[in-house]
Amino acid sequence: MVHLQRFHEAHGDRGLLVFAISMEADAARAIELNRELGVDYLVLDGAGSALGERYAYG
Amino acid sequence: MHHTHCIAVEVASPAVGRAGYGGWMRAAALLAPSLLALACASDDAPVGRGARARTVSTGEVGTDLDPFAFETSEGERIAWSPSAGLEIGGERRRPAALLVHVFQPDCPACADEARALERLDGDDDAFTAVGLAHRGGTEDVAAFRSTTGARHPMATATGSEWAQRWSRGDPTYVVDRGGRVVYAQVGFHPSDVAVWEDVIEDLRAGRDVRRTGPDRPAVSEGERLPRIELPVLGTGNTAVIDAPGGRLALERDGERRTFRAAVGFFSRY
Repeated sequence: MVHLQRFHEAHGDRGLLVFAISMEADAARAIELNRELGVDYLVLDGAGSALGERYAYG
Repeated sequence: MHHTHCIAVEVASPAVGRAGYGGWMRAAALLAPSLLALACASDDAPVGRGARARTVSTGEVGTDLDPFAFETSEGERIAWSPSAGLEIGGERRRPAALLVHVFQPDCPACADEARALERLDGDDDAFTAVGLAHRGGTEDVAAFRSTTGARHPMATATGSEWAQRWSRGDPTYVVDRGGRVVYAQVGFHPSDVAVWEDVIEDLRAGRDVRRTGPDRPAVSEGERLPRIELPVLGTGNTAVIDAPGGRLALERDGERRTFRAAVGFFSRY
């Protein structure tokens, strides 16, 4: 995530969209962890989503 | 530690330029849980140059599990062969259902699966679970076992010929008494536990099983990804990532912005 944050900082204004789909069920925890890591790219809440059900299996 | 899957693409159409799933830190992809990537259709964007799409291991259903022999993180021999069955620390058994979890020690989804395996009933002649790591050494496996609290035996198969064939996608196999792979899946989702229980029960009851795991779509170069419409974490406001008319765009808070390319991933948090 640190690397992706750097990628976002380096290229976000040049047409690159960096985004995460959080699968953490506890949104407050996810928010806090992202804040601690200094993440400011777009983070979507994917917990319980059909998209996550289909793709988030890694 | 967080690991992500991601794809970075630059293509002339909203399609994926590189595939990756269930693996860890490969090429430009960072690992797990899963990943998505979008590329915009920009007239001046270069043509995509992604890597070859990987295949998953679920094609192994119906084949015989290759023999293996490794050392567990506790220093015991763990081996499987059609002739001798399963051996763990000198004890031999031939369970009706042998579940082999192929994993990576730094994979959060693998850790979830290892914990989930502990909820399955039994470690006996009817059912046994073993974990074989295809990355990392004995110390990594020992740490993984300790962290997850899993008690089933684990060993490192890193660098082995066995792992070269059987590890793609961090798969899980269920093998019958004769060594035939009757079930295979890639990755892990909590809903898999119920499927495992069904398969194991069928094998215990002597019923024939030939089953692949849940549809785990591979994201391959040239494929279009689905429209993403989800709330922004912490705000509840919906954001939409889509590529109508071939232009990748993000719409949120009433504003729309187009992009040349995107990197997206499923995150643990």
